[in-house]
Amino acid sequence: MMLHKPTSLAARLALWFAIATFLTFAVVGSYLYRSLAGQLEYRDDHELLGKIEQFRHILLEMPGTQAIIAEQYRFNDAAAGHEGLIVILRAADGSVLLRNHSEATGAPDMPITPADAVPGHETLRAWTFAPGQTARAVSAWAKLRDSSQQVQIIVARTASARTALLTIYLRDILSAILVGALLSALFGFLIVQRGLRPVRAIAGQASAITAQRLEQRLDATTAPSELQALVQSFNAMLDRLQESFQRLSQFSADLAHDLRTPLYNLTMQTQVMLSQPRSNDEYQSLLLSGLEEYERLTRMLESMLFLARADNAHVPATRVTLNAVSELQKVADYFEGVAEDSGVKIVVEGSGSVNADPMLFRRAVNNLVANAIRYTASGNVIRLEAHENPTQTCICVVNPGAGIAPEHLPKLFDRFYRADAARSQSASSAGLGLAIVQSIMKLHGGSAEVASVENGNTRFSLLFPPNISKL
Amino acid sequence: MKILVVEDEQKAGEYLRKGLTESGFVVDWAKTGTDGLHMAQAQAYDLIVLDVMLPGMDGWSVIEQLRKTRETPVLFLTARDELEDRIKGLELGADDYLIKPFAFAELVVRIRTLLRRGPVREAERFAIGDLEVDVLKHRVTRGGQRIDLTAKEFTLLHLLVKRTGEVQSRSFIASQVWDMNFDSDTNVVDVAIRRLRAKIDDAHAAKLIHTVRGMGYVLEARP
Repeated sequence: MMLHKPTSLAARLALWFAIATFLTFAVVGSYLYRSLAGQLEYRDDHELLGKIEQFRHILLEMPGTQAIIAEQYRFNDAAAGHEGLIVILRAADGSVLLRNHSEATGAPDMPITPADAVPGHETLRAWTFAPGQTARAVSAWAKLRDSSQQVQIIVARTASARTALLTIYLRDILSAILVGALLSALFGFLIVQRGLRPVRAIAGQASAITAQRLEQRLDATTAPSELQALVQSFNAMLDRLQESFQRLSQFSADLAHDLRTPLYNLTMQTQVMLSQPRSNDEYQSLLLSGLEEYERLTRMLESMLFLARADNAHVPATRVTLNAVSELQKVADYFEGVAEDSGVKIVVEGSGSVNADPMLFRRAVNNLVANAIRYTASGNVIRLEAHENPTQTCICVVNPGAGIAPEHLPKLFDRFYRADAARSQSASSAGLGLAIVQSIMKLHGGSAEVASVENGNTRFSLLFPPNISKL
Repeated sequence: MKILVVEDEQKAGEYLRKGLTESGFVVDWAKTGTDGLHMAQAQAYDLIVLDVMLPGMDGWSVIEQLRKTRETPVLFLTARDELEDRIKGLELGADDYLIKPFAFAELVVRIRTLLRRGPVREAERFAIGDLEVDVLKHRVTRGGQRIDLTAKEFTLLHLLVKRTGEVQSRSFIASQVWDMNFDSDTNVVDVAIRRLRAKIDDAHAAKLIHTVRGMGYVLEARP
């Protein structure tokens, strides 16, 4: 029972593509974002360090602290063009000589690089110069022309510009992820749709196969390699179906034919007899002839029922261990008179036991012996043999005769199959005897085989599996 | 002997009545299960032949209801030879069954067996006309002349003399003598009877084994 309507394969795959793309983009995006943020910070830091150098140069030209205040513009010029750059110059006593940012009133608590050293990246610190405002800052001592005096340079850069840039970048990345995921879902859907085209083609081919066109097969040559196995097993299934189907329709045709013959006989003789007054003897012979036909129909029906039930394993088979030879002797006794009438002898040979249902066993051997007597010429011997070995018990019915042509052998156990194409003998046997033999063998988990030599021996073998309790 | 036949099919019912009447029984015929039950409860029958597939009340219910008041022997007829069907019928209290289609002679044999209410005469010696059969000694004589029979021939003769005057169908003979409980289209029984006749009857003017055409064989001394 299906609770949910199954979603389409394409939609499902598209969704998975989208999720995969989203995750990939998210990982790559965050890596790129971090990398960019790091790069920007490094570049900013580098710029700050550069500024220290630049201010040291300017300060080296300054004769004294007074000149710094007088030539403030030179510093402001150097700072200009750098958005968010804070420059503070302080005298050695801490008095502010220059400040280009009104809010950055204090000074960062951080190590100050001596005047004869070049500040490196490690000297940079974060500086909260006003509530909620941070900046990257670096500080160094600088010499004036009058080398006895030193001035502290503090350069800092607020993150605002960089943050703004990164915000835009982040937004871009997020929208790229979103669009990418959508696109990959769309493309995934289209690709899967296209990729499943062979499947639809196969479905189309399969739906064209009907009972009337059961010989059609799926085209294995055009199917992609992944579907080859499916196509091949589907075709193999069709082979089996076609075979059973043909057998079944042949069976119905044969059945109809075999039913029609007695019905035709009955109708014809009854109509002819009724066409004018007859003597009592004639009526009696009509009734007897009718009775023969009815009995034939009854036997045929009984055989068909047996076969149908055996097919569904509805025939109870109670297996017991039987003495094969004494069972064969029973059958030989049964046919003794009939065999003698046709000048044929039946001998029983061999030894061993067989694990079988007694009634079914007798029925199977019976059918074989009845057949053998029919096809054995006067003066010959029919042999019933029993051979037991650890893997099976073989019961053989061997009779000399004209033999059965090789082309008939494989179909001999089919229902209604008769080696003589003209069904002239249909009055004597319904052609179900050997089919019943085979059904009985299947019920026992064994098999029936036939081998025949032209103008030599025809040997029917019943192979019974060994007694399981004995193993 | 009074028999009630419960059978809904017109033709089958008519001929069952006709055949059984001709076999010497007094036959009543009910066409539905309800009628059949009423008749079976109201009158004393010696035996009831009951079809299982009946309109209205089926055969199973008829047996069930009937068994509450009467122990009349019931032989039921079924078209299905599924094992469960047979077991069900016998469990409900039926005494025997036949699967349709069956040989009429078979029905008569079964009815006679049930009416005897006991095993077949297991006599040790039989004498029909001038034929004498000694079961224990396996000796058969006719007109004082010793006749040699094979084991199977003796079994066949024994079967016929046990039921002297009763027609035995071919399938019944096959199952009793050779234990072959299935219909086969071979003429084994006919051949065996012919051989037995050759030994028992051929030398004598008064024949004992008779063919009942379309039904089977009977052994009896006919005047």
